[in-house]
Amino acid sequence: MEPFALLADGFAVALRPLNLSLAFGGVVLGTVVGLLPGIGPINAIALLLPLLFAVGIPPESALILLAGIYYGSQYGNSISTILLNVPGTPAAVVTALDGYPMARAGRGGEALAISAVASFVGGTLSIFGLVLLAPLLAGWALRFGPAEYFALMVLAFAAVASFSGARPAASLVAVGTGLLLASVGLDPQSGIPRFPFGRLDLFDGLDFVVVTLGLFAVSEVILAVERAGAGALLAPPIRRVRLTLAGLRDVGASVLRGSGIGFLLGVLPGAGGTVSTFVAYGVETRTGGPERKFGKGDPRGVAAPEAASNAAATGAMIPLLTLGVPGSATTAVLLGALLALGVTPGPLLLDRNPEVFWGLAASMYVGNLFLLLLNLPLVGVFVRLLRVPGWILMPGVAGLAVVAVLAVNRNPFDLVIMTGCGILGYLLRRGRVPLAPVILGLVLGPLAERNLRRALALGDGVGDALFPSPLAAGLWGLVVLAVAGPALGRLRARRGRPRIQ
Amino acid sequence: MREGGVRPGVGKDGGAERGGVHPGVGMGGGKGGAARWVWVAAAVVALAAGWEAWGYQVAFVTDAAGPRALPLLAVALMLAGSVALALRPHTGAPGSGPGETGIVRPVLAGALFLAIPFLIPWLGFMVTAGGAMAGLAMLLGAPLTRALAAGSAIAVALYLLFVYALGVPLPVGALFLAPTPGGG
Repeated sequence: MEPFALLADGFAVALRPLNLSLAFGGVVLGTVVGLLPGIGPINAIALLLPLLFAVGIPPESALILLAGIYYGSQYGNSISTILLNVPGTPAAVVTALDGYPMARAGRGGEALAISAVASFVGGTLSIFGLVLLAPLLAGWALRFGPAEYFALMVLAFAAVASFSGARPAASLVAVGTGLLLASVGLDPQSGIPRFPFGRLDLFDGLDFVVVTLGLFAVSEVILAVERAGAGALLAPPIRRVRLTLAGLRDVGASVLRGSGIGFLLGVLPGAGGTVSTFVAYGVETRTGGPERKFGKGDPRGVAAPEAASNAAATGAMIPLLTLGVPGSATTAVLLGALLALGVTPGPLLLDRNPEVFWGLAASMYVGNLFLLLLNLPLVGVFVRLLRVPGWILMPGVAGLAVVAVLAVNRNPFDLVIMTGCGILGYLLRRGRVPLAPVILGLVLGPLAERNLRRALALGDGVGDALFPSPLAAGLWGLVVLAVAGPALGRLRARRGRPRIQ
Repeated sequence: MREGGVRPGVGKDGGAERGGVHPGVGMGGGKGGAARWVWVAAAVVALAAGWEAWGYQVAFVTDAAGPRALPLLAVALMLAGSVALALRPHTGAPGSGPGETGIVRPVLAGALFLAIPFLIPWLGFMVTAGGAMAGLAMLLGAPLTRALAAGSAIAVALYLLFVYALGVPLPVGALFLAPTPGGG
């Protein structure tokens, strides 16, 4: 029962007026940025971070706000996915399969209500899992040495890259780019400046807020400019969000299945969100019962992936907080934010900063409740935000990015770096290179490097350094699986297809 | 990313051909075309980075990997990926999302962003950001008056929010500062 006593302490933190209002603000902001095309939680977190420094709020409050944006954006993203068929994340693609047909058939309100309830159940159940599992995992992770951490980080890279849905070669380019960006600056161990280009500004390395805003926000603005004139997307009006008991009963089992699948896959570093929605949908199509209409607007096809993606988002907080290893682009940005705020995630976090961990867990219950209460009646208001024209929205995002970058170090040279990263991000996206491994490489690269060098210093030869324990060997086995599994699947799919395209 | 879902139906070969990021390069080369040369360029950049990183060495026995391990690993991954993509640029999801408006507008947008850090020390945040955001609004299809209104509204709102509400100083600009003995 100990976790629940600690959780009660967490509620004492989460229900402080400041934290309560930050949780509310975070989920509202998250819904908005998840809904609006081209912003997303990554930009929102990177934009807010310099602002949080300026205000100087305690780390647990900052994390409550940033996490609120993270899981709140999932709700907002569902709205534009269902109504506009514009999935903001690869994970949301699955929701569009049945959500968009429902919206086109005039059942958009019903789809949104199902999505909100499924998200709430998936989110809330997996916070339960987080509370139970995180202390266990943290205790277990105390046995991790540098070699185990290095293997775990390589596993995160391997999983994010191979589940990104991109060509393997493009994933290699993405990880390489992220690691290269991460290596800029003074090497902390030897003091050698790497890629300084003769500029003192680069000795400190690239600030992750600057790079993130460039890669995501600036490239998005450039893409929007390129697309301008392609015609705007119009959301069908939502009359009412209806929620019937009978409708809920029909999707109840799907929601529970989706929640379980999402949580389990979310805990694995790297697999997370995207895989979980596809698996949850796949399970539904097989167990869906007699009257299946999957792909044509079956509510269960919305319920299961929505529950799964929210459960996975919460599950992904476990490796982030207890191991310090993020499994997705957004959690990588959260890790960067935590480190910048002076909180080091890892097995000691629960002991050293209990208010951060338990306060966050409690605030997630509260935040999900806010989201449910907000999303059912206010969906119409959020939908109206989609009518804000791009020529106001995009310059607004660009202007915020400029101010945020100026606020980080007060150095206009950072704007040059941001623009450079923006052009890089634009080229990568045009080349169909996924950005998630890039950001993971940027944040995780220095940590992986430090652990590798420590492991090599401790071990007796490379073999002993990298495989000092069965645990490390097991993790390397998972790395092989993460790389080989999808590759084998692709090979089989290719063999099944006719040779001529 | 998102384009794939919104704009299906771009042919496998059409995408890179029409939407290559370097039009004019290799356009006469038939299949592969521009996209191939972009990957070749990426491989060359990776090689240059590898050349530079090779020199990062220390003689500490306790630091077997040394400062060059991370950049060299990054270079190896980039090189392998971009060479593979240069050899087979089309084996992917359909199209790389051809630009409806060609390359001119994205280049202008990039140039606007790049101009900001060079203008800010003289013109200050308000004028620079207002002008750049108005320019972006025009590139996004707004008429001149609306673009100017949007740009100045964004600049003023951000200035008020950061300088007055959050206490983050933003550059005022040398042009608007009276010369003082201690320098502007």
